[in-house]
Amino acid sequence: MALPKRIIKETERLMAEPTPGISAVPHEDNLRYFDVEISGPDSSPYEGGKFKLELFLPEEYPMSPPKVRFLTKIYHPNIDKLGRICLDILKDKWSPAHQIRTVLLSIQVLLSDPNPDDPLANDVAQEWKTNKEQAIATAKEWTQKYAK
Amino acid sequence: MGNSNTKRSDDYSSHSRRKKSKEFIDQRINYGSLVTHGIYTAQPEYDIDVVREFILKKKLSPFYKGMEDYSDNPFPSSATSTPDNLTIPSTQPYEPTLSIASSTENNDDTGSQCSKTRVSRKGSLDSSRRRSRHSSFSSMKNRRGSYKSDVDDASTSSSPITPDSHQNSLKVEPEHPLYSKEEFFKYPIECPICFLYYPRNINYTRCCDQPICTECFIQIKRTFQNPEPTCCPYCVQSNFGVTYLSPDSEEYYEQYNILVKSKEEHDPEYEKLLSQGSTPGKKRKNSISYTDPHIVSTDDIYPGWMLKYEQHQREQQRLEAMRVRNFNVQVNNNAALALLDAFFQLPIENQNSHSHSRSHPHSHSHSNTNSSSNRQHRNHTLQTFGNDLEELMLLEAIRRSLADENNNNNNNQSEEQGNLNAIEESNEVVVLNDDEHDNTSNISIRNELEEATEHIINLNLSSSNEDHTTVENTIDNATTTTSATNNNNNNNNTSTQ
Ligand SMILES: [Zn+2]
Ligand SMILES: [Zn+2]
Repeated sequence: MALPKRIIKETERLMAEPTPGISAVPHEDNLRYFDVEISGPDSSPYEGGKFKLELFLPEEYPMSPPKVRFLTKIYHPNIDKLGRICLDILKDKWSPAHQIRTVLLSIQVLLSDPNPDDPLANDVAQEWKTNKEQAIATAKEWTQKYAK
Repeated sequence: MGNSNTKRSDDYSSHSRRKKSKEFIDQRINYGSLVTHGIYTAQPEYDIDVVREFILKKKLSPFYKGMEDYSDNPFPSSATSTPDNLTIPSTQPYEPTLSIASSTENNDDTGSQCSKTRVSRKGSLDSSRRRSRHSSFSSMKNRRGSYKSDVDDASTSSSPITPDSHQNSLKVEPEHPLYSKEEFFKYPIECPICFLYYPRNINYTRCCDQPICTECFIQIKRTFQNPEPTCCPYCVQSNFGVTYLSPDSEEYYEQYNILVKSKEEHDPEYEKLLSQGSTPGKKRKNSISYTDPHIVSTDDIYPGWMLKYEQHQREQQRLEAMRVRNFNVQVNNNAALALLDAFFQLPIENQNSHSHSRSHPHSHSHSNTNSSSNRQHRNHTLQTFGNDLEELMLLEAIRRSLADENNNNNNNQSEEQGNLNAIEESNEVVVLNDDEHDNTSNISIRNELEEATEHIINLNLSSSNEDHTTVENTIDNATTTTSATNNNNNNNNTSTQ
């Protein structure tokens, strides 16, 4: 199956105009599969960290959202221990007008702005709500430990 | 179970396709056609006959083969498109358009008039001419039904034309009397969904006036997972629908000229005009209601969807009822067995939660042969305590069988529940497709989750030969990776296609 022009163009544009703090590189033998790296946003507990993710464009893309997952361990109320991400545009709020770039930007924003009221990792969310200082300290610690 | 439902809907759609496809003959419409160009490979669920009907009624843009790269002039014509053997009075009014509209149907003397119009149209950008153009447009429209006589009138009234210029012109524009192919495809527009370039007569969203090609528009649909009305991909407004301005219309022609002129004269306003959506030159102020008759909505092109959804829901309810019934039967059986056990007064150790419900018949028969004195004792006790005890025993038996049930399924159940939650909460399994959704048992949903995870992991393994579980600082995938290896063959098949 030939790669749709849209995927080729998105990839070209990602390469030609990279977004600061985000990189996405397709595998040579599978152009639907991307190695992603997102830098922890400044003044967030993830600052200084480099987080690896994997991103896969399913056959139905862009009518279905990409599948994205953190590979680097991260302490975040909306990311579970398998690296799965709770983000509306990756589920029911997906629109084919979104792109790889907008998805990764949204994930970057999620790092700056965790949402413990819509948790995926319940224990983390609980900590985030009841003892925010400790939660942030743990997030920083994990960043130092796993995301260097 | 779920498969039968899927099969049924497949049969339904293939049946309707078979029934109608016999009658289908593609037509050229405004240099486009009635068949898709395969941007999307999924089995279509929209009603293609309805879509074609809308295209023929000029309520949707025809299908065009999208151009991969932008070019101001993707189809430059040969020099013959503007023959110079014609002398056209600069004050030539728009009457010739009338005959040109019918030129494709008449091989006599009309071809060169096409050229004539084109030339005169170039000069048409001064406002007085445009105005005169307007009137002839409407008269042309009104008189379309009676081409022949119009043509005859036109050809007799116009000056004689040389035969070869006529031939050349016909080759240049065999399908569209108002625009040459070159003109028609000039300054194409990008569809923001498929990233391909199309002629300017693209569809526009009713809500926020953004372009969308027909092939992309018809892909947007309600799903069983999200049966709500579809949303605009750009502004997320509900009840997605599009408008279309036919290139045969006066309005389109006017806007075409505004754009082409500003582009060719390097007007700095050009970009601004372009950004004005469907109506450059007079930006559309409001969104158009989804009930407006000019709108084509998602529901219009998925006419049977609600019925299919209701059928799907009934099927779900049937499966759910079946599950509940099976569960109840099991509970009742367990309760009855437990009650019998109680009757036979088996030693309490044999009744603890380790004994699987299926083993009861054995212990039952065993105890049956065991002793008849037990039975007498039991009868005696029962008579002593009467109905109260019977009730108590029944309750206890039910309680125990439920506990038993829980114990037996404990691992599976909690794992499945966890995975179900994970599905709901995570992006990993994004959309269960219809088949998968039809499989309503927990187990199949759980498998689906694993597959989705495996899929990513598998690709990862096969493409990089690097086991992520062994890489430090990465997430422990032990469980999912194991199952990934189990299903390696399957997944390799799907992932390498
Ligand atoms: Zn498109
Ligand atoms: Zn919109």
